[in-house]
Amino acid sequence: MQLTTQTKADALCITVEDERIDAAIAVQFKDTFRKLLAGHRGRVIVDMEKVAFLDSSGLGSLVAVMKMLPSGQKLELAGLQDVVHKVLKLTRMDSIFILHADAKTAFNSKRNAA
Amino acid sequence: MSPQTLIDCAFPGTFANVSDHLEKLSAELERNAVEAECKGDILIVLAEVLNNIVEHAYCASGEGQIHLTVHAHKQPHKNAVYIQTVDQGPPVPVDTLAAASLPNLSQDIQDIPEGGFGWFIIHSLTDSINYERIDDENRFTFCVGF
Repeated sequence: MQLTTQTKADALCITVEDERIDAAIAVQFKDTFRKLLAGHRGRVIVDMEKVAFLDSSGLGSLVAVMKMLPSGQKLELAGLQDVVHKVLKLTRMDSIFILHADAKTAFNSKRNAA
Repeated sequence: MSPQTLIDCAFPGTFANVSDHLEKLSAELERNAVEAECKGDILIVLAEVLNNIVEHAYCASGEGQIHLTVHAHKQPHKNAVYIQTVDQGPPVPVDTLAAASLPNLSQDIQDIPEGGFGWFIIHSLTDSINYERIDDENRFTFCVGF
C-alpha cells in the first residue's frame, strides 16, 4: 500500500494513496502506520481524500492506528468521501476521531487533538 | 424488462478476491446508472457479507469458493439490485444472524473495539437480508432499491 507524508510544525500528515482501506490491506495498513508513527510526538492527520471505500475492517484499522498514539490523543481524519463518512456515521465512530474537511483545513486547525 | 446480470461468477474466498470483485461490481453498477448512494450501500453491505464468508466460512484460508450473482431489475416504478452469495462453509449460527447492535463505545480509546460492526452495518443498510441453508450451502440474498 502507498502512503505519502508531510510534516508541518508538530503535525504529521499521512496521505493514503490507495482507493480502498478494506479487509485485503488491513494488516498491511496497520503495520505501515506502526512504522511511520514510531517515535513521532504531535498531531497525526490522515488525509483520506483518495479513499473511495472503507469497510468495517478498514474502520478497525483506523481504530488500531489511533491506539498507537500517546494515551488520550485522537487520530485526525481529513477529506472523507461520502461513502467513507457514511460508514463512520452509521457506526457512530465519527465521534471517536477528529474530522476535517480536508488536509489544508486540518493543518490550519488549532484544535488540540490530545 | 428482463433482469440484467451484472456479475455471475465464482471465486476462491480470499479478502483480495473480494476486494477485486467489489471493484468490478462498482464499475458495473455505474455502467447501469445505479444512483451513487445506492451503489455505495450495495458495496458496503456486500463487503461485510463477503468478508464474513472469507473469515468465518473459510477461516481466511482461500480454500472455498464464493458464488456471487448480482442482477439489476429496471421497472417503471421500481428499480432494484438483487444480490446473492453462496458458500459451502458451516451453517451460520442463528444468534449471529440476529445480532444487529453496535459494540459498546467506551470513552477510553484503548477499549474501543476494532471489529464487530459488520452485522449492524448489514442490517442498517438493507430492508431485509435472507439466509438459507440448502444442500450444505449457505445462501444470502438481499436487494437494494434505487
